[in-house]
Amino acid sequence: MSLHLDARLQARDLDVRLDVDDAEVVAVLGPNGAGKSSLLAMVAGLLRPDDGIADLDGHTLFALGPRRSGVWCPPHARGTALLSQEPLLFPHLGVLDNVAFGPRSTGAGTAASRQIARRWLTEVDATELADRRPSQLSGGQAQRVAVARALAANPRLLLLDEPMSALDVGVAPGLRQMLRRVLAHRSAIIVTHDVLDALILADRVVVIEGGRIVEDGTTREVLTRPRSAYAARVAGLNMVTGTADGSGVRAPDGLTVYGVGGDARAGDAAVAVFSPSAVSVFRRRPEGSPRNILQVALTELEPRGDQVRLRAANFSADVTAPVVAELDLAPGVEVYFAVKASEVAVYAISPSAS
Amino acid sequence: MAGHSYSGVPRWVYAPAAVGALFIVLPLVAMGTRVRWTEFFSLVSSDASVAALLLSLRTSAASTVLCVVLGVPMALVLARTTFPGQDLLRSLALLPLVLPPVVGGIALLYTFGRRGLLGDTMEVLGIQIAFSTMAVVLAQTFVALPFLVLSLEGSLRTAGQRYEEVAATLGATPTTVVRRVTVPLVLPGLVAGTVLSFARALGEFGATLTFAGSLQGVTRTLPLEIYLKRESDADAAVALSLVLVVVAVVVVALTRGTRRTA
Amino acid sequence: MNRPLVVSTLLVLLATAAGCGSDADESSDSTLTVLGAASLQSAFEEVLGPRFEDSHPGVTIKFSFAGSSDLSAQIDQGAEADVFASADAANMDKIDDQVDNRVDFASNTLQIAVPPDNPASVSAFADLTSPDVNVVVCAPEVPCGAAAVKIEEATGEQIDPVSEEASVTDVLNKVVTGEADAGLVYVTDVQAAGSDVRGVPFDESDEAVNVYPIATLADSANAGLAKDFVDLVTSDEGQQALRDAGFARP
Repeated sequence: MSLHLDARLQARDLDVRLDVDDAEVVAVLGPNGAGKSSLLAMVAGLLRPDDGIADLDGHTLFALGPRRSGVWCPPHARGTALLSQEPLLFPHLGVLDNVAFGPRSTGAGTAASRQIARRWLTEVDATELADRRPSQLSGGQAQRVAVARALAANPRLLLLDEPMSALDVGVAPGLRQMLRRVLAHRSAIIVTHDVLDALILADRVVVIEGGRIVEDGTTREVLTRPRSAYAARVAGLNMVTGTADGSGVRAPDGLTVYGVGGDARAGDAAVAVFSPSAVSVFRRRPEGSPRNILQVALTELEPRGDQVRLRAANFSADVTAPVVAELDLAPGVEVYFAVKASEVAVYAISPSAS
Repeated sequence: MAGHSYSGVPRWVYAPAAVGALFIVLPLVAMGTRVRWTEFFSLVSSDASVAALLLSLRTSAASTVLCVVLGVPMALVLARTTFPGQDLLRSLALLPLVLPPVVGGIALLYTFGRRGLLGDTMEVLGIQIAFSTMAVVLAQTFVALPFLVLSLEGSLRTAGQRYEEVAATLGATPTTVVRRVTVPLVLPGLVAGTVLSFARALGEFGATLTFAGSLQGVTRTLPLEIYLKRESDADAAVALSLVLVVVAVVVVALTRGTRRTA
Repeated sequence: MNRPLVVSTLLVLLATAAGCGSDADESSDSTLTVLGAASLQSAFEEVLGPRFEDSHPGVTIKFSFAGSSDLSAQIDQGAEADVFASADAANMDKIDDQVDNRVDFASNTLQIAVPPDNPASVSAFADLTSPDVNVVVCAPEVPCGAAAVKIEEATGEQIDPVSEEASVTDVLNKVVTGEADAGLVYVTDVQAAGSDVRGVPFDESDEAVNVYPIATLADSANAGLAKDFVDLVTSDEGQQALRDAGFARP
């Protein structure tokens, strides 16, 4: 189920080209207003471009503009299912009938569609919610049911528009894990501004800025060698990719960074992530409390407001100006970056993201 | 309701509100004092009265159905689509609300009457509308339709289109979307509009008088019967009016019921 | 804190007071209020009214035309008026104890009204009984309808109307617009309608003659002026004006 899209929409200043391979999950990152949701809407059939073409698995979604056939496939015939930030469960139907909506609308009988619905509710770990009504669900529960509803419609391509952004921070990880499982062999496009979604769910990352796609590559490529301002900002996280090893991540070069997380099994592709502001800087190797110690040579000092970002080859640390003065830091100086394991998050990631 | 909630109603509002309520209630009470209660039953159970009441109920029901059949599509088009001249069309659709009903009746006459715009077409088809019950239904529909369109369009706009979009992406054709999502979501507004239309149709007088005529059992609805009774027996007219008031109260009570369950 | 309440109550009272009061107190010696049946409008308003005002300088006549039963009911409810001219005796009888100087001043008979082109070729009363003719009449509860019933009983011919209207005006309108092939209205109505309808007189109309009584109201504040008006109506001058409008002798 592969998608090919090449379209322009003047009213929103959008000009994009995107391909999604069979069983590939592509994350679309970008700042607000960049055009991420418009892109999804065009694929779903809710927004009509001025000109361009798109086809899904050989089936034309649209072919518009001069010298084109003028084909426009309406949303219900495209084989795509859209999941938004808000679950938008139909308030007048119960959970089971919500999930059964797709199959019912395309011709399946009530009993058959409810069976399909139960299957997908189980798939998203929401079996016990089947008899409830949408108003009785929490945000996280409702979003789970919405995922089940989208999948029950058996789409060729699943479209997710910032599915975790309206949820509590504590609820998101559970949903993310569930999505990882159900997206395993599916084609999907997930729009997000959370890089964790890209890392954990996507095979490929696409960065969109000002209505144009500015980066397109694997997660590691985009985040370690950002070529756009947004990716660079996103990449401000320190990241070590490698394989999970106990409670840490061992990079190919042997460096192991320890952190907390827990879902990565030994040998899984995994990433350890920590913020520059969690890093403490020392001139001499610090003793004592369990910390990750990284010996680096500073390459650059970048003032950022009342902080200074110290850049080394692969890592950065944010410190205050007095610290710079006190430690007499300058480019070329060798220092030790120390970060507590509790400030490092370890995640299993999509194998192709490394 | 447990505990005190902030209502946001300043105290001085209660006085005009009470005056308004009295303004509506006192005339009804005044009517009640004029009725000869001992003769009430015989007054309202005469052949003419029963015929008028049954005709009113039948025609109002028919015109309400017609209002729904025509009004729901109109509301959908006005609320969900945009096209040039839409505002003008909306104003025209609401015209019967503003037009005096008698004027509405005259307009209908000039359209469907023998010498009207469609008069010749009607004659060729062998349809005689004037003086028929059909004319009553048409007159009632003409005045009651805007009520349905207005309240439903408002509900549709408020409900928004997001659920319809989701339904479409899940594979539902536009017809299925209207049937399984749009209409169920605005059901309270639809019911309220329907009940309102029924009530308006029931009380319709001016257009019926001008367009349909007045013949017992055929075109003389209850309001027309009351109008006629006034000439000869004013007290019987009051008694019949009370019957209409009771029907209206029942109708309003029905809307209250649905609003609570909504 | 109670001031807003007082102010709003005052506002409401002021608003209601503004709607009334401007015309209730003008029943001074210079205004005469005459309530008349609808059919008397042209004769009273165009001829007799101006004549009365000419002969009584400083006096203004205020006319109010409506169905006789409406007017009768209004008087019964205490409406302020000086003279009442009814389209039939029954409505005057209803308020018999509230009137003085009652006298019959005119009579009216029925006539068939047809559209100018007479599509159903109606020429006699018997034609009205044909099922092919759309006939509109007044309902029996109304004077002109009662007259129609009287004629039916006297001639033994039953009309099967397509509509029984509550007022003569409604009957006339149905004929004027061409919806009805024929209507039973008063001679005066046909005359007043001019070229909009054609009148078809019929002899049987003599079976039902509506006699119009006029009277002064006992509660009138202008008893003298009221009597003068009644006298004008019954005078030769008044009778001629009524004749011109189509009325017959009482």
